[in-house]
Amino acid sequence: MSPPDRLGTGLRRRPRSTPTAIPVSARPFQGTHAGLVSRLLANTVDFGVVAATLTAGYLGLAALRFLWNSRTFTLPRPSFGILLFVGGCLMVLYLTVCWAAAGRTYGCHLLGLRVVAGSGRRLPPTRALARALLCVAFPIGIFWIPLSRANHAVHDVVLRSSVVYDWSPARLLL
Amino acid sequence: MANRGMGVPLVLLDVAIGTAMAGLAGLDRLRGEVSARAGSATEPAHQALRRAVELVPADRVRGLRVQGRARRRAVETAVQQRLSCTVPRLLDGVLDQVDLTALVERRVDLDRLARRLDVDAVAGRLDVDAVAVRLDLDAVVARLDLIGLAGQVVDGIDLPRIIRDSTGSVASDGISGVRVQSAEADEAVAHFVDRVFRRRAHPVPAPADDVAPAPQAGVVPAGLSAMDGVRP
Repeated sequence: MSPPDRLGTGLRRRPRSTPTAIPVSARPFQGTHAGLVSRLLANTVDFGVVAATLTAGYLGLAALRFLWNSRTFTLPRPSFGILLFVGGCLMVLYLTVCWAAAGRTYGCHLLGLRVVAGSGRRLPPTRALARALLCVAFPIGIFWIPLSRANHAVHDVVLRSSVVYDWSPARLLL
Repeated sequence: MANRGMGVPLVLLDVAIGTAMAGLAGLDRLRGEVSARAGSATEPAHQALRRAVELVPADRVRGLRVQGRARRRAVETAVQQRLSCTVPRLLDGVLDQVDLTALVERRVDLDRLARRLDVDAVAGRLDVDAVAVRLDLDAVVARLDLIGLAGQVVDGIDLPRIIRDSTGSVASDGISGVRVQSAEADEAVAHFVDRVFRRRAHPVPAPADDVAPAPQAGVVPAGLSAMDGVRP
C-alpha cells in the first residue's frame, strides 16, 4: 500500500534506496559465484597466512628452547608428518573461525569473496568446520569449479555452500 | 387542406393582416396622387417660407439656438441621471435570473480564448518569490528520496575511489585492480571450459545500474541462492 498523498498533488513517495560503496566496475560481479582464479588466489593468500603463522610459531618455539637451555640449543627439527599435521590443524582452525565469524578469510577479504551457505547466510560453525576439514583433506576438489555450471567446488557440492563476489566492507557476523 | 390544421383565430388574423396591408397600399397610392397634384400649389408657399427665414436677423437666430442647446443639454443630463439609477438595478435583476457560469460554459469557446492568452506575459508579471514563500518546503523535502539522490551522487563522483585515495585503506586501487582482473580471469577460464565441453556460453553480467545490491549481513542478494547461481 502506497503512503498517503499529504499534499494532494498526486505525487507518491519513491522507494528508498541505499548508496553502496562498491566500485562501479565491480557491480556486475557483485553477488555472483566466484570462479577458479579468484578462489585459487584467495587460497594462496590463506596458505601464506597459515605458513607465516606456522613459521612464527616455530621461531617462538625455538626462542623458548633457547631461553630454556642456551648451551645445548639446537633448532627444532620436526618431521614432515608433524609439520603437515600441525599446519593442517592450524589451517582448519583458521578457516573455521574466519568462515563462521566473518564469512571470509583474509585471502577472501583481499579478493573480495565471501563464503555463504545455500540459504545465502553465513555458514554455521559446524558446517564451517566440516568445510574446512574437507578443504584441507581434499584440496584438489577446488578444480571442480570450472566443470560446475554454478562454480561449485567439491566441498561446496557436498556441504551446499558457495563462494560469491562481495566487495562490500567486511562485517563480523558473530 | 393545410388550413384544416390551423385554428380559426389564426385564419381571422391572417385575413385582418391582408386587409390592412391592402388598405395601406391604397393609402400610399392616394398619398402619391395628392402629392403630385398639390406640389404645384405648395411649392410657392415653401419658397416664401424659406425667404422669410432668411430675412430674420442672425442675432435673433443665435439667441434661439443657444436657448435650444441649453434645453437639449438639460434634457440629456436628466435622462442620463435617470438611466444611471435605473440601468444598474435593472441589470442586477436580470443577472440574478441568469446563471452566467452555465451560460459561458455553453456559449463560449474557452479553449479558443485560452489559446489567445499571452501566458508568458502573465508569467512575467507573476511574483515567484511570493509564491515560494507560501510553499511548504519541508513537506516537499519529506517526499524526496534523499538517500537515493545521495546514491546517484556517490555513483557519479565515484566516492569510494575518493575515499580510497584519501585514506589509503587496504582496498586501494591495486587491490581493486587485482579483484577485477581475477574476476575477469574467472570468466575467461569458464568460457574456455565451455568451449572445450561445447556448452552454451554463460550470460553476460548485468549492467551496473541493474545489478543486485551488496549482500546484507552475509546474505546473497535476493533471487540468488548459493546453489543456483551462475557465473558472471
